Amino acid sequence: MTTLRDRLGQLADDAPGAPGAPGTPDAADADVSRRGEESLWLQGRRLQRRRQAATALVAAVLVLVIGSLTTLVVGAVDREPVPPADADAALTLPDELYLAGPWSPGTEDTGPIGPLVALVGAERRSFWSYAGIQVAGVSTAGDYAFLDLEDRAVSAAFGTEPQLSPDGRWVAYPLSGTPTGEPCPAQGDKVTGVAVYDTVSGETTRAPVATTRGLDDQRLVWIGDTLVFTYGQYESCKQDGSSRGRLAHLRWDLSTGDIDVGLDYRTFPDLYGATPYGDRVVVATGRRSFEVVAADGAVEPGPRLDVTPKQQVFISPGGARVAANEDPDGARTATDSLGPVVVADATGRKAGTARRVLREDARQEGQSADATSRSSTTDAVVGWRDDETLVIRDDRGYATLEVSTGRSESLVRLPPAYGIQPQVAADALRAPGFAAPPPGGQGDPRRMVWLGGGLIVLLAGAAFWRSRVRL
Amino acid sequence: MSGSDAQRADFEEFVRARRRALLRTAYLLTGQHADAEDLVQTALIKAVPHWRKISDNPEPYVRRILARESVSRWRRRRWREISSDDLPDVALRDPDVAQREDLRGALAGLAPRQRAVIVLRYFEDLSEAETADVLGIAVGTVKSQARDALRVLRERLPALRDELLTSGR
Repeated sequence: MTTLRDRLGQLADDAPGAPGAPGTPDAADADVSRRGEESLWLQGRRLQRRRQAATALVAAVLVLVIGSLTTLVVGAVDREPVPPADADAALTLPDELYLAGPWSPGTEDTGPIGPLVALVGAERRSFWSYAGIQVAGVSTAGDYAFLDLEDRAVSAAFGTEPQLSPDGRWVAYPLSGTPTGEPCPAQGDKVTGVAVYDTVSGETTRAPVATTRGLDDQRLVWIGDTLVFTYGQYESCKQDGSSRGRLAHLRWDLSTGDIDVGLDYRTFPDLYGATPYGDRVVVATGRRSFEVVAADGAVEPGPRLDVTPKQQVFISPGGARVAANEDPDGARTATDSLGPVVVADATGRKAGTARRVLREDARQEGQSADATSRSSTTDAVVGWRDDETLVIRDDRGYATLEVSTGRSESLVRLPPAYGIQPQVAADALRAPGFAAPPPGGQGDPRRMVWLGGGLIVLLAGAAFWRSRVRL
Repeated sequence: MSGSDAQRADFEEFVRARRRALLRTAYLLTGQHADAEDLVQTALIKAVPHWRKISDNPEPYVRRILARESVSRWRRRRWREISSDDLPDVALRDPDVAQREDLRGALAGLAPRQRAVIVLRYFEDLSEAETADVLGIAVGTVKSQARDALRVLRERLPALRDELLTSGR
């Protein structure tokens, strides 16, 4: 009786190459392949080269992808930690402001980032959506974070931009809400008050104004720690878009929390074009006059000038000088052109003779101080750095201008206006400067997901291909 | 003679000496002449990249590739080929031929891994541990695969002696 072992041996005798096996050449003496005549050795060497190439390719892809992921992760880690708020952080002035990166964090994620040196606008993106143009704050350390301003009214075509307090502690903005009656105008966010975001505590405090048809937000002005919100209370509005109302002020002392709503427009000074001066503001009032206004509405007339300023007057920190751009036609007409920078002593009832200050480089080019007529964004006075040095705005940003020599140096390079004009805290103009690197938040974090998915697909593809090339 | 040439000569010497033996095993693993030749060629080609390391005793490595490739090739091919338990009618010349065809048909009805276990255990005379090592599976798996395979073979080949079918080393 045969065993399985015996019968397997008998069946193996039918194997190709066995003596008498049908249809097969005698393969015992030849190193040749049935797939052509190439030797097995050469085919094996070719397989070896293919495997080595495949291994090198997979290793290169892995190195590339892991390197990219590492770079992204390190980049993300680098930009993630925005330092916590420091209430006592002294203002410092970056030598350049940038558009915030679209993927910069928001204050809802990071918490408050402390007193802000500046506000800039930028496109904001999240993992799933495009959030539009929003306002970002720049901390004293040069970190950028989008300000998650709760219930900010943003839709008005000429809406009031958020305003940074002189010390960078608070950001004021019009508050969106629902009027009690039929709103006016019918479209867009309805302004129903004002809100203040505390950059140190992260709290938002609201000061609503009772309104039937909504408010026409006119301006937000900081007088030291006091916010003055000037608004029009709509009384009627027509289909053609015209409306009637009455102007009023809301005065809010952030240091005490006291709020006065509905201050009569006629009994509180108009703060149009107000510029900061310590804990007061300076307002140009007539052709050659200006006044200094305190938070309680007290007005102190300034010395009369012998030139007509264009809209705004700036008093030096020590109070010894005033500066302005001269009105080119002397009539304070609403043209964009600015006259030359003028500076006058501000002691006594009458200011000293206004002296035109021309930049040293412009003087060397032979320009006449008398003939200077510039656009509204060129050499416009924006403040004082100290009693001897003005801050002016030129084509690239803010620059210093020494009033005695005309020497000028770049102070802060500014990004383009994006939603809002870049806004520097008034006190920061006198702060020490530092070299500011570009902010993070530029890289799309979704690339990590795409790269991860791509890595999986690549590895799966490589594994599949490798399995196919195996003989 | 360079190192590479020497290795090639060594390889070709091995092929000439052992190809026929490898074909016998491959034929039991595949049941087809063409498949057996392909399988042996594949195993030899795959041995070339490692030849420098295995040249002292290449046969275990080549047989390991042979056994594993017989299983994995079937996995890669199974969606392209239609397997059938019914063998085509052939003109049988004599009882011995008929017996061999019965065994070939019975082996063809086994799963590839079961077939490999049977060939390694009862043709190559490997132990369960050696069979597990060659196929890269657990000893327990070898036992269960062998048990299942022998049950199928007993059903299809009643003439085989039961005591041998159930015995192991």
